[in-house]
Amino acid sequence: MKSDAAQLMRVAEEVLKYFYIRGSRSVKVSYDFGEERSFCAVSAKDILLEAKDEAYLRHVFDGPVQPEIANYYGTLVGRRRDELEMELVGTMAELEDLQNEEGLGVVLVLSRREMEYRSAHKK
Amino acid sequence: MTYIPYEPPPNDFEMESRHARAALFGFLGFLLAFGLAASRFDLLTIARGLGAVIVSPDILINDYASIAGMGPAFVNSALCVFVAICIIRLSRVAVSGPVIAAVFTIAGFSLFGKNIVNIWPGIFGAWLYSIASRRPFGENIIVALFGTALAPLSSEVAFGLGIQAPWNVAVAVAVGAVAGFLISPIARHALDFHRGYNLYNIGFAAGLIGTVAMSGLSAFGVPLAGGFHWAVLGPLPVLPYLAAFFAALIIAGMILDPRWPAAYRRILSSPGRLVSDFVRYYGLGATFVNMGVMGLLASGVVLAIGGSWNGPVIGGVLTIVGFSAFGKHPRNVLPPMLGAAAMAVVSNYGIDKPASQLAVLFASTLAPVSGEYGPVAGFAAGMTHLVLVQVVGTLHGGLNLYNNGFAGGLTAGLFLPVLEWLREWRRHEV
Repeated sequence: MKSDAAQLMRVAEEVLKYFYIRGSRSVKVSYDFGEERSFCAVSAKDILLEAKDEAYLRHVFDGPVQPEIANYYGTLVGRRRDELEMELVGTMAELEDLQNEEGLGVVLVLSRREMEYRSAHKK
Repeated sequence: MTYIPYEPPPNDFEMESRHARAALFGFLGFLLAFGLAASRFDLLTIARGLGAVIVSPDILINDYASIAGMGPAFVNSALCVFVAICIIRLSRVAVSGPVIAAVFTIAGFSLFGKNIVNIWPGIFGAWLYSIASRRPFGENIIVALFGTALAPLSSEVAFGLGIQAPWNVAVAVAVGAVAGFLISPIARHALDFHRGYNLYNIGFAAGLIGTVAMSGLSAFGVPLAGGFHWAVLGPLPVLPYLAAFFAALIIAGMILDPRWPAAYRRILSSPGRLVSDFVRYYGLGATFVNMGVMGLLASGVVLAIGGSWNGPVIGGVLTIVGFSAFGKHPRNVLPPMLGAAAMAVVSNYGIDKPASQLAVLFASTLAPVSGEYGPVAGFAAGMTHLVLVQVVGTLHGGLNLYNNGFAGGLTAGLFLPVLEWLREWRRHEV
């Protein structure tokens, strides 16, 4: 398995944990693994994020992917029982879409490239 | 008509990363200026001092201020920092918390064990690992920079084992490169043991490799060369300059971010476990303020315990300052530091012993324990750290410069399951 695919699975697991701690008990996770770019979508229909939580999530993904951190410390994601590692997740994947609407619930779409050459936003 | 390609304006992180890189050059300038001034600008003295530093076997504790003088020691530190900054720049890696921590750690340990020659084999090994993994070197740069912890292994092979030239150099490079290669996967795996509660994770991984290397040498009856060098120096020659540097960091932080008090309050409430990149999440301004405050705090601790202001102790202070961009702040470092100091006082070791002085400073590697589980847990972890650090050095024979990272990893790995169980038991979640 490619390391990027494995990292994206860990990322989704951490987001899943985040939604669980925010009160969701029905979470769907889906993946789309591509040659150069892979995606994951995590959706929870039974919760809505408060404004501060949504702002926090956007802040987490505001900075660029940092492969030097993701590659070394990425194993910590999805491991801990209580502590969240969303800030580490922010260095591992890019935010493609975040929806937080009544009726739809919360949908978070993240992506990860096969190879990150530098700490930067999308080229 | 000249075509000028459009470049989008940098986002805040990229701008702050550029500021941070400029600050690293400022730090380099400080080290170089102090080294030159301490040597009274005598280039011959510096050259002789650097020569003495390079050919000395560097197993712990090898105080460069003792064997070469404070001036050459700081010039060596500046040279190593210059190499680190160049590698970071060439790898096109953004300067954020972990990179700042790595550069300050290299600066600190270049006062007692790393030098401009012996850091290369380990970096070369980490580069080979990237080649073998078919990944960009930039992805492995944090391990490459911190992985210079095993630099004494190369020095020991080259100058301590009596191997004839030029074979000594070839074997030293090969051994250092193998260690640098191996530390890359082992450091990632070592995180699982303490789950980010030991900030000096590479020290833990390097301790394991150093233990294997030491065991191999012992198996064939090869003794390690190198003596104990520890200068006893007062604070006057260096403390005023360090304090001025830390004050400058605080002022620069305040200027960079006028809203630093709010961000600094958030830093103080952070548990600090890996990965806590203060630059990325709280901004460079508040991070600089934290680094300056922590520098002054660490200096105060050294004064309070009557520590000697030599290479290793200054190295400890600089390492704390670096990790103040990557997990440490006053609230989470004081409990383990106080715990280590208390245990040194009540035990047979004593607070005046060199290993105890260093352990008090480097016990701050356990800052995440107090940050997450409270000051009592942090205090107890600091006490345990001190007794462990006095004996684990014999396992690797001083080949691992981050001996406190090794002890810190063991302490955190032992404390964590118990503390987790206690927390879950209190919540009736067991």
